[in-house]
Amino acid sequence: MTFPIIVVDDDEVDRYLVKRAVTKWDRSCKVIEVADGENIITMVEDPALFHRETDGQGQPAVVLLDINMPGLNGFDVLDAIQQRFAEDEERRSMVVVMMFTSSDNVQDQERALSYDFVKDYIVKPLDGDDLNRIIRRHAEATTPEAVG
Amino acid sequence: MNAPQHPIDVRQPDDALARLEFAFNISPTPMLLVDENGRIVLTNRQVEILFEYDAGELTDKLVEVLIPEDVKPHHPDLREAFMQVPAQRFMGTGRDLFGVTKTGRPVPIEIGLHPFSVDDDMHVLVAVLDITERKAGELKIRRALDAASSAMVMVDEEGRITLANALADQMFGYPAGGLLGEAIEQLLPERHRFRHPVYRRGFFLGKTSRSMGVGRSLFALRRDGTEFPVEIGLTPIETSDGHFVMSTINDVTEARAQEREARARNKELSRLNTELTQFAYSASHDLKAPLTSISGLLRFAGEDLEAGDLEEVKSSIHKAGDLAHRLSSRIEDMLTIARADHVKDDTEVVDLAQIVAEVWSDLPDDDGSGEVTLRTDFVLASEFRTNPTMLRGVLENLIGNAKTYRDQTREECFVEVTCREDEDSIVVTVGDNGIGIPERHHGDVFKMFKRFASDRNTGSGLGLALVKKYVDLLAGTIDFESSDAGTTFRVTLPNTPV
Repeated sequence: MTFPIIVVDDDEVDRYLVKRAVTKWDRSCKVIEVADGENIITMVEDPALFHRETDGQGQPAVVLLDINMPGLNGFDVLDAIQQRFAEDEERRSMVVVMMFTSSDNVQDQERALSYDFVKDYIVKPLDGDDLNRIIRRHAEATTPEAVG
Repeated sequence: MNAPQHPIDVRQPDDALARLEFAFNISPTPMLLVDENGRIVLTNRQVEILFEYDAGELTDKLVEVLIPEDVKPHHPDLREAFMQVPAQRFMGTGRDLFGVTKTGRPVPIEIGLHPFSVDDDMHVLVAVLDITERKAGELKIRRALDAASSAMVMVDEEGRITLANALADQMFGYPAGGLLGEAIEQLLPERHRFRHPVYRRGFFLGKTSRSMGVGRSLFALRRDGTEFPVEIGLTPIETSDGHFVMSTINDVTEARAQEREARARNKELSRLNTELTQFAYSASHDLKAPLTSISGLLRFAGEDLEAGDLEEVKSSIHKAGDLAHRLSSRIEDMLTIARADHVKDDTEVVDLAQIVAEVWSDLPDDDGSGEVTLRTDFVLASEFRTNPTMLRGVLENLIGNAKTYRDQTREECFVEVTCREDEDSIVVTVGDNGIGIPERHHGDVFKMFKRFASDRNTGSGLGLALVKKYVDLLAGTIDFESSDAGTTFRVTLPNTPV
């Protein structure tokens, strides 16, 4: 099975590490690196672009979302997803968001998990194998029809 | 009881002296009769026993023989004054009166005087009460009261002080015995006097022991007008002379101060504990993060090396090097914070303009912040005296942040440093038109390891924590305003006098 993973993080090293960890586990996994909030919102707002970028073939996309980013931060992104997909249950189910942040702030955590499409709150740093396990668990739980 | 020295006929109405002698000799009270010249005409045996004389030995002696040396010279005058206006009276009530024995031993006494005519000659009948035992008892009670660790004040139903121990006089600033006869309200702050008689009467009605002012702070007033906090216990005392209240008063100035101090110390300890816990947690988290990344990068570099992908190896090692550098400066900052408490706290006159200029020129430009302009506006009439190391630390971080977190979308980015005098303080502001601090982070600004814009994370998240620490050490205050339009930190520092 394959599902695209979108890493939204302004830290280049963090994106690189996630990408390496994920592809090590599944070479065919498509990892899309997004360096800021603006770009991910543009993708979310344009279904064609989103589909083209993720090439998910019906699989939900897993978004690993940082919180502290310059410009639009993680919460701005969550609000945008909430708004765009508010009346589109099907499309919303195509996005599984996991916060991947260095913020261990309890308020941040509570706020993030109040969005129904936010499935987890992972505090960096995290071992690559653990990250893989978490991603797979959430993605598979969301996949409409399990493949493989 | 001694037998009469010569038989008398009590039926002889004119034998006044004989009748008197008879009465004397059956009286348990020491009595004597003195003529108008102060000569002792008659004594009973009780007087002789009291003053240690043999039978009849006092007769014909001047009454001054029984008067202590210190009073003896004035006594004839006093005696004559009494004879001018003879009237029945008591001597010694309310003051210490002594007689003196043949051997010179003082005896505390009370005396009753009664003018008495014998054969038309004016005499004075004197009854003497030996109060040695009563005085000893009083002294014992007095000593017990004076030994008490609390001030004790007894008042009658009118609120008059009828007894006060030494500590009470001392506590309220009165001379020994000075409280006697004063109104208890005299010991209350003016604002409480009005209602006190009502409370007092209420207590006399209730008549049960209790603490006064439960649940509120009580204050007492010294003679010099100063107030002090007290705790008071009240006990009703019933005597044949009427109802009294004994109040036990403790000056709790020191206890209150200690309580305050303990509370402050507890608060400070709890703050330090929170800070330490947060520091340990944040430090381990923040030091672990780059280390984990470095170890991840090196692991991948190893794999890439095996696979022969040298470009990837180079890239990973380069990234790991950057992270190691960042980690090292983070540790350096932590050490600076840890050392902040040990910075020498000497003050000197500082040249703010020069320090700002030096700080500005020392800031790195390699992050593209070279285009940011510095504006300054210093208005200082007097010398600015403070600790130069800490002031520089504050300015380095505030100005450095202002420059780093510029808003690249603006035509002109600036950092503005101003300085004004405000009474005994110097107010330094560091403002910018940068990206601002998101409102949700405003409460965390001065906490350690908080970074709010991670794309420019050359910072350790310790800068503002260090600023706060220095400002605290300088006994100053710091606050800030931040919005999309920029951020301004305002530091108010006391201008330390020489």
